[in-house]
Amino acid sequence: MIKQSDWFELKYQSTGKLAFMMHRLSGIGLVAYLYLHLILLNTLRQGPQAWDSFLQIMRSPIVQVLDAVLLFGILIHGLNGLRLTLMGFGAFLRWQGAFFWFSLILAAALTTWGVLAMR
Amino acid sequence: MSTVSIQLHIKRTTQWQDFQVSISPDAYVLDALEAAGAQDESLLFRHACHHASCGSCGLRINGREYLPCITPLANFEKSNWRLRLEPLRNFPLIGDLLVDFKPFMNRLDLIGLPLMRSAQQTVDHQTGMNEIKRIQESQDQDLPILATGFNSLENCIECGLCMSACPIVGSDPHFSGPALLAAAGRIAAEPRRQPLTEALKKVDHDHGLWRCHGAYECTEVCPAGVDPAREIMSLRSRLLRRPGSIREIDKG
Repeated sequence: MIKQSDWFELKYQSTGKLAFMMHRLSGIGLVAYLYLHLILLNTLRQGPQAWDSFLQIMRSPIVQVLDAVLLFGILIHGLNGLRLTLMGFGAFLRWQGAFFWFSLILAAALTTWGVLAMR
Repeated sequence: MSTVSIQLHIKRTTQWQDFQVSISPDAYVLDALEAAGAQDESLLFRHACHHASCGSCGLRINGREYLPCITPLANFEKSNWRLRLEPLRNFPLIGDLLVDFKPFMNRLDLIGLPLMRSAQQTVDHQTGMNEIKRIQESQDQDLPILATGFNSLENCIECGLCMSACPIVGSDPHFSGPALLAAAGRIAAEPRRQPLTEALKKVDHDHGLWRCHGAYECTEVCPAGVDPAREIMSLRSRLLRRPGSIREIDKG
């Protein structure tokens, strides 16, 4: 049997591996969020009072930090998805590493802007 | 001659073992490993040519894939001459640092030899003499004028470092792997009127060309300067630009 290796390791060698790990982690996170979102929306069925108290929780600082993490996860997953799609079409192969760093900076900038806009 | 004391922390089959080796700082990792092998002859590792030609000595050194025969010990001065040696990942382990290359070679055989000969040695059955025959004159005429595009792919020494570094090979044991996909790309680059469909069918599936996630670890660790990741993406692009099926490629 071929021994399975861990796909996640801090001692990565290329920018592409960092992109791969962040893509997979954000993907897993987004799937988990999707289910969490559906469960939380279920609160609507319990009436207006339940929904209002749920919204109070959502305004807490911890949840707002998680919102920022979510926004960053969506952005990095989407931008890296665009990078992978373009690479599949043979575009930006020489600059794929730079493309990822640009995506990372853009995702961080848009997340910062989003956080400031939410305040 | 000055020497340094090297500490080798080697993954044996069931446990780790430390070796202390006194060696010239200008030596290579394989030299230190051979000195460790002289201390304990039961230590299993493979090597042959000492100059990155045979591709048989690949290891993981301090968490990264290298060919120890061309890796200077001086590279590890910053880690206080301490080296952690492990076998390549994603290969069946025989013992200690020795892994089984047979499944990897079988995969490469599946795609066919990427290097195509213009002549071959055959035996004349009437005379019993060896003779060199040109395969076909017309095949030589098919050689592309521009040979730079796939020069790097000719350099593959089948060392398996890319298979060990690739995170997808680690997650999907059925994945074709960078070496095989690059070999398919090599055939596509210079078909010499050979049918491509059979070769491409072997990589145009869920565990083949489309499974690569573009982590580029294969390209990063390749000691021969081959760029398998770029070749995979180029081949993908080539298939995507040919609507219909891969059969269209032969017509092209």
